Amino acid sequence: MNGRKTMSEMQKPPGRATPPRTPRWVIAFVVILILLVVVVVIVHLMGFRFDHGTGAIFFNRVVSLTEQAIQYGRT
Amino acid sequence: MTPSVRKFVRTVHVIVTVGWLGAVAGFLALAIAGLTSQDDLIVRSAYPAMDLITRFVIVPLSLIPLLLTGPLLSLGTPWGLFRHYWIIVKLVINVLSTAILLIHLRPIRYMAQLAAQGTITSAAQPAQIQLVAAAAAGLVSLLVATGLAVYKPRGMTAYGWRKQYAERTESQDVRSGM
Repeated sequence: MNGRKTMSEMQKPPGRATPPRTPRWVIAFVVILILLVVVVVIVHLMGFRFDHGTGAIFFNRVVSLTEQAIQYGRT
Repeated sequence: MTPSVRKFVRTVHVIVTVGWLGAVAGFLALAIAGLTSQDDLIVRSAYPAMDLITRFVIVPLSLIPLLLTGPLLSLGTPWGLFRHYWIIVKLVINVLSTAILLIHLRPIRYMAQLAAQGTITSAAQPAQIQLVAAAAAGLVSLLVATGLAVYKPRGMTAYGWRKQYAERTESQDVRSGM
């Protein structure tokens, strides 16, 4: 959805030699995104394993690899 | 891209993205009904409906702006794909939403099968909660993407700045006859 703005209306053309700084709203977006990823990982690790859902493939693989590693260590 | 083609692509893009938003809102309502309702009939009919909406409405509506209209509108106009932060953020939101949606096809199918067999028990509650959380997160991210498309917050990337600077210098050189 680009609206009806023309190039001259979009952003002020650069009038200086150095590139502009990253806007604060972009930094806030990245921080929120990272926090959300951390929350999802913590929820997964706390035992909400989604047995029939998203995490199933990943966690089943991790569990089987861990079991294989333990067995390999014993032999 | 000619103005008439651009207008057509923009119209398709708006229809599809707003339709995607509405479909996800409908999905969320069904997911909440499936999780909270005491009426067995509602619970048993909600999940097959969610499965159908996902496969035939949400997935196609999510892929069209991501693969077709979005790249066409950004690359076919002076806006570019990597020149402005708001376009990159929208792209990230779109890619993540579609990826999370495709990952969730499995639990949606699983719940639809349980509903069809009439065997939804408390053991399925994590999957039910997951569907509500994912739909709510999807709805919020699509609202943010719509807001970005309307407000177009300022912020040019270093790449966009270099491009615009080069174009400006070039046009000044042409005007001064160099």
